[in-house]
Amino acid sequence: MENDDILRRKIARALFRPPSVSPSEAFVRRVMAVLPPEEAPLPAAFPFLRWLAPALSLAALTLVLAWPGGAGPLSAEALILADGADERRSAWAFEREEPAAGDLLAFVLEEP
Amino acid sequence: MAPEEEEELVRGARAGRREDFEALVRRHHVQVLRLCISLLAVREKGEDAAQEVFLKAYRSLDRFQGDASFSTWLYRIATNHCLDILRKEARRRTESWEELVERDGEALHRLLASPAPSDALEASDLAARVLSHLPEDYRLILTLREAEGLSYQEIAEVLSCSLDSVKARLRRAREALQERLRHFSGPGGV
Repeated sequence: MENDDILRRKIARALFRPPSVSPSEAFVRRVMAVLPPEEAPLPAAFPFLRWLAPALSLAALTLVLAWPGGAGPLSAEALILADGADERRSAWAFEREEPAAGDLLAFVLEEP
Repeated sequence: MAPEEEEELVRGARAGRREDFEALVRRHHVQVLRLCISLLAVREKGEDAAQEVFLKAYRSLDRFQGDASFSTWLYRIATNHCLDILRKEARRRTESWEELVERDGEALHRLLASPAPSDALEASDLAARVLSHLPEDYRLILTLREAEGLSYQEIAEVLSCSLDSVKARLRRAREALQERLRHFSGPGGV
């Protein structure tokens, strides 16, 4: 069996050859061409603009999320099954969607 | 370039002076290119990876703490980036070790027996295919040591680990590679 050290050197020579690389202006230009464009500097007189816009956006988002959201109008079936405790919501729903005469008749006919 | 001069360039680049970053690219691109080509084994892939490395470095300049040298920091970005690419390639690899041996066992024997390193494209391709069967971290540490010629201390800085860990990992990586190639290194070959 071959000495491990000789084998190690053979392997290193065969498999780990440093590639020949020379300085390349073309590569430097290629890198510089893909860098993101410079940001336009903000006027020195308004440095607070850096944080004002994100702060206002955050405040607006917080308001929207915190505002009590109203549930949509209930369906006719849900109102009929409800115990009538929430009169305000029933009134609001019927204001917009009057049950047709046919709907009410159908309900009466279905009663056992 | 003096360390103070480099620090000045890094400060300038962080402040948005592109010409300072360009000077840093000009200063370090050969090292980064060589490492990426060594690790990925294909020149075009290495060049694309090196370009990505500089782009990542530019975007992360604010995170450069200065606890290591700028070149070590670049090496870290390059090794992490190339490791990601190697892992993706390993998932796509279709050739098993047995298939490689059956197809190119004789060529592998010739490659190991050759007294001088071969620049032939076939030799380079075969070396890359052999190395693709090693775990990526073994391949990385062997490349840093054998191809790049980094000292143990330099490797420890690049990989952010202890000197003992570098020695242990190198030993395991060498053993794994020797185990695979022992049969091809003798006079009889396969």
